[in-house]
Amino acid sequence: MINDQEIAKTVAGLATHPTDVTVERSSMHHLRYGGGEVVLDQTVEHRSVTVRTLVDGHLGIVHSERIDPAGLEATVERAVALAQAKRGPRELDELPDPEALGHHDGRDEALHRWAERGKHADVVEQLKRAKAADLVLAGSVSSGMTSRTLLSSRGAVLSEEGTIGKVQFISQSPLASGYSHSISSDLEHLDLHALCGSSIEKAKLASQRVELDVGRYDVILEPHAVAELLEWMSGIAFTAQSVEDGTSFLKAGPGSMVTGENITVFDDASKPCGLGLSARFDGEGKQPERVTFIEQGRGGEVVYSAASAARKGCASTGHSDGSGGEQVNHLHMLGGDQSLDQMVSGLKRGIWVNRFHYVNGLLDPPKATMTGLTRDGCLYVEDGKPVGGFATMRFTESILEAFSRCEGLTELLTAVSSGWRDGGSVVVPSVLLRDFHFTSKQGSVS
Amino acid sequence: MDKNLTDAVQRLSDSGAEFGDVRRVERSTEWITAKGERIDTHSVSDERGVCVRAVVDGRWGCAAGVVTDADTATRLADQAFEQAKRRAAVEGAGPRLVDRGSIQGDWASPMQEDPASVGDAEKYDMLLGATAEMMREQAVRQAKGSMVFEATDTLTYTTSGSRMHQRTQRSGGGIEAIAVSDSGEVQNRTYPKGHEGGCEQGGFEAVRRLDLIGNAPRVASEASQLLTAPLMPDTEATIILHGSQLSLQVHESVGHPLELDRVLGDEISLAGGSFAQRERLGMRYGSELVNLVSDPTTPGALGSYGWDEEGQAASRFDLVRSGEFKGYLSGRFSSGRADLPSAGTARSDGWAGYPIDRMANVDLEPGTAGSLDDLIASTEGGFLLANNRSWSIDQVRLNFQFGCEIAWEIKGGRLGQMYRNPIYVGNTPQFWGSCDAICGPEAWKSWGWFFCGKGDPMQIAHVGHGVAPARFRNIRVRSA
Repeated sequence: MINDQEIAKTVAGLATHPTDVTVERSSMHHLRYGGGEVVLDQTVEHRSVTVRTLVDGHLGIVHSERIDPAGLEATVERAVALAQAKRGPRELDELPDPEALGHHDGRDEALHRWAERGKHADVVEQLKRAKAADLVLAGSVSSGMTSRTLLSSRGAVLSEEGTIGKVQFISQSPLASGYSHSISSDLEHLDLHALCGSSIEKAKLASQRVELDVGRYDVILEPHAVAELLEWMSGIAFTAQSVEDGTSFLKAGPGSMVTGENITVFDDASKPCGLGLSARFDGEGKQPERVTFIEQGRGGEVVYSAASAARKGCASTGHSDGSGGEQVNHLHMLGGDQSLDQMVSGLKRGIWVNRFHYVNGLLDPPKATMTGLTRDGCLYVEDGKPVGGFATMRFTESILEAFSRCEGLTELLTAVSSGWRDGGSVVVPSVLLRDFHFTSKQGSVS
Repeated sequence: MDKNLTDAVQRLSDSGAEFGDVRRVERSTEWITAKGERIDTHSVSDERGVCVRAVVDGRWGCAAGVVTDADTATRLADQAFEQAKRRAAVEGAGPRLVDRGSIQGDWASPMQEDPASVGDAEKYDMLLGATAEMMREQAVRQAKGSMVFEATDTLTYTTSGSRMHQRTQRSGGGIEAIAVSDSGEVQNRTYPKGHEGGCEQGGFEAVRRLDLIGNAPRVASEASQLLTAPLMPDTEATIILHGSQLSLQVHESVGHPLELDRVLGDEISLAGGSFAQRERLGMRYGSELVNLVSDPTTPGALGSYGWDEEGQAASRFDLVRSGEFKGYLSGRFSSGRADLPSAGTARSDGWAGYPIDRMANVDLEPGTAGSLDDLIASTEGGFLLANNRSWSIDQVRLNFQFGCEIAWEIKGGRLGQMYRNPIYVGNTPQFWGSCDAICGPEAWKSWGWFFCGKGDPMQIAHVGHGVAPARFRNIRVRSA
């Protein structure tokens, strides 16, 4: 089997126009469990080539898993044909030269080999542990390695290899459930015992039930809940395309107040907090810049690829997805100075949200109006103490307005797996929001 | 390639696997998007891989990979077998499979005009013609159009002697106008529905039928009118759902909760569970008028097939009959665990996907209320809601909230005032219980939805929902 660089060189050798080729490879092992037993044990090996070629100012992009010589030749020919067929304004005058970043090996050997060295038994142990606590465990553990090699027909080669591990546990009783999650590029940060214990603890706390009416509550949103809201913000507002469409709440440009002054949100692929995942280059071989979307409540910049930057007349920020669009894969939110315990103990009457379910941010994108539901281990808190769980509640409101009522952020940041993209992570604190609006709740079956 | 697959099946048999299957999938997907006066993206993707499953002592192992050489399938067979063996060693023996015999056959979706035979220039003309029409409307800030073509070739062999070959061509397209007012209000309208537009199993004739250019002026005009339309009032009302929204209502509040693997707890790590637990078989799911079926046999519907990926022939299966909850979407594995009949709807989204319980086509059977115009004429007061904009439902599929692009007031049997940002909220059984009229066969249409996410790792399925517009009483509506 030829290696990735040889594949890339073969493609570059076939190119008759300026061309970039990216070879991506991954080898993942997935264990999924539900109802207290393993329901999936699967290995998946991906390998693909993406060819981007520029002909007369137009891009042709083809993604293919055909990596035999005939397949590679057909891929290059198709990319040229697509570029030649395209019409409209020129997309680019020239393909940007990839940056000289060389090779980086970020693999953690322990995580890479976990599937061969007892991962299955580690998970089964947690299934038994939950059962012993009269709970039923569900969740998944995925781990493996990824690599990317990008070669341009102008000679530059850059590549990176890494490992990725994702764990989630949901401990369930007939009345309640608890959730825990972690993502990391090394095995050291994936402590199955601690994570499973956390989900068991949450499920027990939520098993006492209280009746709540819909209305406004102070809420503590834990990292998974914060991350889901931020990812929706990213989808509706943080890319150049959303500004072009006129739907982004950042379309007015930098400087105007959009939310609370203690809110700062940015994308940074360099793993600045030592948490989550990193990336050294984007789909066009450019090192991603740190882009601040919201700085102390004021609107900031958005991300660009080479093509969207050319339309705007600015430089790419290094956020190309390699397929003609932009991507935000490494969201961060700055933390504050509180601990989670301080937040909970200071809550007179409110809701402690472990995570949300099925958030949707398309209700009114310019206002970032979103809806979603509580799920897995959300607790009602009174006089600083968790009282118990409650029937699923739905929130509906502008998240910009909700974040303008943010009165606390934890110092501790947590990495959460992106719900939108493999290889993405979101690093966030827990936040305290006043008067969060719950608009309906789950009814009965009959 | 066939020999490589049969060699892999033989390897599974020789190894002593109780059962095994080897599935090769080749798929070519083409997306074209236009924005304003430019072709924004034209991406082509070619996938080619193999998935092997093996059973040892009732435990399943699965290995999937891109085809890199002639030995790929055999290597994956060895790996799948070893994983199954490891599971059996760690977990103990699992449930025994019921033998289903062997199947030999070929199946292909209908296609009149191969999209590959249509030049890029003609496709671009259609999209740019539509966006140009929409941009003529003064308030329209962005005009978009898209087309998708996906050709899939799946060949499956099993250790029980089956050989199934299925070829599917899917085609579709849609347009969207985004209007922006001076004050910053943003409104969009889509055709034929939001998100991916209209998709079906078929060739380029499916795109021609959409008449994207002909519909563009209306779509742009309505987006512009919505900018100054009043907000949807906050009230309890009678609503009629257009097929562009009702199809998603069926998807979220019928299809997903009736997936048996969700009921068994397999899906908790991602999509969640279901309120429709087994002890609720026979419960009242909707009014007497409500009949819901799984039907992967509908020609041209987006989710149709010849056999599911566990080798069960496609057939029509009752989910809800006269309002009573009758059965689940399920496959060989899940139905065996639950001791229930299988609906034959185990599906994966490609070579890397593990077959799980899925919607194929989940349809609301037509009623007797005639055309949409007839239904509106028979409604004294209420609202007509069309084209989904936002969707959200709780993890057991009871509490839902949907946002639509547009609503029209119905007064005295006629459409009147337009409203912006309408949403409606409900609880699944009560909602379907409030259904008091469904349009007839002349208004019934299968709507294709291209992006149904489920599984962990996530898989994206293409599903169809045949519906005719229907009326629901006493529904909470308001604005987003």
